[in-house]
Amino acid sequence: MLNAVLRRLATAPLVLLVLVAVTFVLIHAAPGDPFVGERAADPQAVAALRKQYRLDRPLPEQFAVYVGNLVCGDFGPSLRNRGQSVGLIIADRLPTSLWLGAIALVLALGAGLSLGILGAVRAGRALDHGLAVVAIIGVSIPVFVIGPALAWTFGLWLGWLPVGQWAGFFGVSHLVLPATTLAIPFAARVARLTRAGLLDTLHLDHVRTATAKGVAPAAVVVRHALPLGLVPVIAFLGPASAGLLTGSLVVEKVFQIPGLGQEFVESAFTRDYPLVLGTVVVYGAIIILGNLLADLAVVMVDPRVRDGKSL
Amino acid sequence: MSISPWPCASPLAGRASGLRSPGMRIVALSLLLACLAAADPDAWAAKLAPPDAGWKRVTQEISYNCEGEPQTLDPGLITGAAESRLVSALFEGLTTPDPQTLAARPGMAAAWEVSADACTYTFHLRPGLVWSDGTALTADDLVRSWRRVLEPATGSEYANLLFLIRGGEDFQRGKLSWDQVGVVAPDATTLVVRLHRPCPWFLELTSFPTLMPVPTALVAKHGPDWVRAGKLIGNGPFRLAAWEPRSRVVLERNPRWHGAARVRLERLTGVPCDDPETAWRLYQQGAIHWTPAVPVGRTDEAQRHPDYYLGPMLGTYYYRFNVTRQPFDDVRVRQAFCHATDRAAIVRHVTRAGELPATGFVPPMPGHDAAPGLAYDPAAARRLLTEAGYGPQRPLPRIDLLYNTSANHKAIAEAAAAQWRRVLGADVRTRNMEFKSYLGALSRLDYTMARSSWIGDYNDPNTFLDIFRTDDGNNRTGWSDPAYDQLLDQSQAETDPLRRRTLLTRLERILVQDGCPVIPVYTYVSKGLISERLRGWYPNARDLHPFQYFWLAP
Repeated sequence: MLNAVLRRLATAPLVLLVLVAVTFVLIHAAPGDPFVGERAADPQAVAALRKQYRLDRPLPEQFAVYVGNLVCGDFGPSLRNRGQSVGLIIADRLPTSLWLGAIALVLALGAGLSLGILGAVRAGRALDHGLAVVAIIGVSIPVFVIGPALAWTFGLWLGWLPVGQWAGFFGVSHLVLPATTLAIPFAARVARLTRAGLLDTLHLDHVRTATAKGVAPAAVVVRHALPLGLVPVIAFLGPASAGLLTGSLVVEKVFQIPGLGQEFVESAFTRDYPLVLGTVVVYGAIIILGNLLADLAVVMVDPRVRDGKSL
Repeated sequence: MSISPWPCASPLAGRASGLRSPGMRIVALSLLLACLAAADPDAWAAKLAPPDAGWKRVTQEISYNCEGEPQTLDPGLITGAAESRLVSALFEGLTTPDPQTLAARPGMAAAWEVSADACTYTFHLRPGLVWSDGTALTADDLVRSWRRVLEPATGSEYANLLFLIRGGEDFQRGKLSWDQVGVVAPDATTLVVRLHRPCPWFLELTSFPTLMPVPTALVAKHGPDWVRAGKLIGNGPFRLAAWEPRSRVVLERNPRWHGAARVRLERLTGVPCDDPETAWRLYQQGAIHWTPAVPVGRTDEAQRHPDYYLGPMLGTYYYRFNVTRQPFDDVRVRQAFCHATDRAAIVRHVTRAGELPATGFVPPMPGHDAAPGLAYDPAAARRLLTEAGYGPQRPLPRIDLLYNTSANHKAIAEAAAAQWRRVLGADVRTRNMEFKSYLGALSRLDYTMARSSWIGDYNDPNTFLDIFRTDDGNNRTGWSDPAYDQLLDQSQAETDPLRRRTLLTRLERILVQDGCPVIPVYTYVSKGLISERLRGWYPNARDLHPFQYFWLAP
């Protein structure tokens, strides 16, 4: 298994390189220019800026230089945020996004797992149907609707929580609404997956054996059925956690959170090429890592996969 | 708070002076100014003082929506209005705008004189000026800062503002050495600036961020990082206490500023909120005292809000033609489209926030006689189109109307397209593009018709008329008229205000009637929400709100 993990880690840089290449081509193919504005800038100054940022060089050369610097850990300068390096911007904004994402992940797992288990053990009854409706609503209402709705309700109407802004990692009241907004769609999906996974495993032989041997119903579910029932949830967690940790772009905008998501979106609009590439590299790395960890976790809990040595 | 959108015309505007020669008049005026200034350069500000000492009972801390993360706080490099607000609090130019009238008031300079030919300005700096760290600030600092803006390696996109200075442009092009440029500091408190032509708005430009002093030694030491909190030093009424990217920019009173005794505000926090909807909620909750933006779709709700304000704005919303493309290579077709545009209907039914329908390109401005332009006249529009040879036998080709993606622009474009379809039978399709792509298409002249806007840089019609000079980077229509260019030169060299006034009207007439590369649609308004308690905020045409006059009422 160690070999398999090493192999996956070894191919990761290659995957990232392809990602960088595709992004590089796409962002340079997009019409527009970082230095064209509503008000025409002084042509001499623009020429100097293009030279300074090497944008006057042929694209293959720019690409080679970028990848060379990247290997040395240098993400280059941001074009929009004059004088700031992309590395610093990422270092400043990423922890915020990760923290918010981690809280949302805990919330999503807590709520999703408990509601999923509840649905599975009460399968077919009114409670299960009710939960299904709630989950479908949670999955299908977009975050840019949930966020403002929560802000209006709990922020302006009830006046319990701030409607936005960041008050540091432990500014709890400022974290509640954004983290909840971010968690809701994931919680709903985790609930559905848990319920489905658990229903499948509740009928397996070893679970029936445990029940027949007189194990308490709660212990049957938690100890015998749940681990296998969680396999689909864990598989989903890889991309999901990557999505949560990085995918808070809408939530960041709605709640005025200084995270990386806003930079990602805005860099594309302002044609800040190094910032686009830098955020893509970071997101790419997080997604690769998330998937790898999820695959490892599946191996841990599912003896069938573990023994088959398929990874 | 409701504020009437239009300032009254200045009673002095355009009144003929008893002094005959324009040179004499300027000398007399500047002497008068110098005398007044020598007495107390800040006497004018007395009218802005709070009526009583009630403000002392409250903590003077204000937050506002600074509309997005500042690109930088380097005065020489910024290009946006949002950055300009913050920078104008951290730095101060030779002059500073009067927040009510926009007239140039003494800033770093306590007084100035203008030569008889109106080309040489001698500024006398206030004695004892210091940076916010206490080091001395001299006229040499300004010379070095202006040189920095003009050096191409700095990459200052607004460097061309300094081309007014004799030799400025040639220095930037590498054709002259710095000693040949018309800026010298004979001593620590005197700055002499020689322009290559008269410029009636020069004293307004000297309050512009691009022309503010920067601590060049610090810039050299720290590089672009000098603008961060802890490093940045300025010479303005506030200093930078903290700058947490995308979270907040915090300014605090600079006790070393020459006018610090008059600044009431202790702390000011800018929240970089680029989503007006989020800013709206923050305002409703009381987290910010002022948001200069109203979300699309909340116009009606905003107008019912007690804190809503509507102010004037020196900006024109317009459509531009690509005159190098059919059918707009024919001026009659362009005029027909102008006549077919019912601006009153657009502002009444589509924009609905109190915008003024515009047939001229220069917004209403005291001292400017607007050209009437081409008003809504369907019969004239159809006649012009027929004269141009279009009709049932030869219909107009399909026309694409380009706009940058936004619900507002879309609604306006569709209304205008429907009017042109109804009046002229034109087949106009609206097409949207993401902002940068749209700007690219404009600069490459890769469009047929496009929406545009222009916000004036200073309170003079020239800022609107100069951009349609042949080959100006902002022209972007392909339109070129040698007579217009020549008239522009003439108006810029003219020192007699009355003659200049006539020239400016003639220029505008060419632009919106005879040559017609644009269809003016409406004059912008500034709008937003502002707390009843925030005082010292005045409406003015440039939407400038210097923080040093703010205070919080109990």
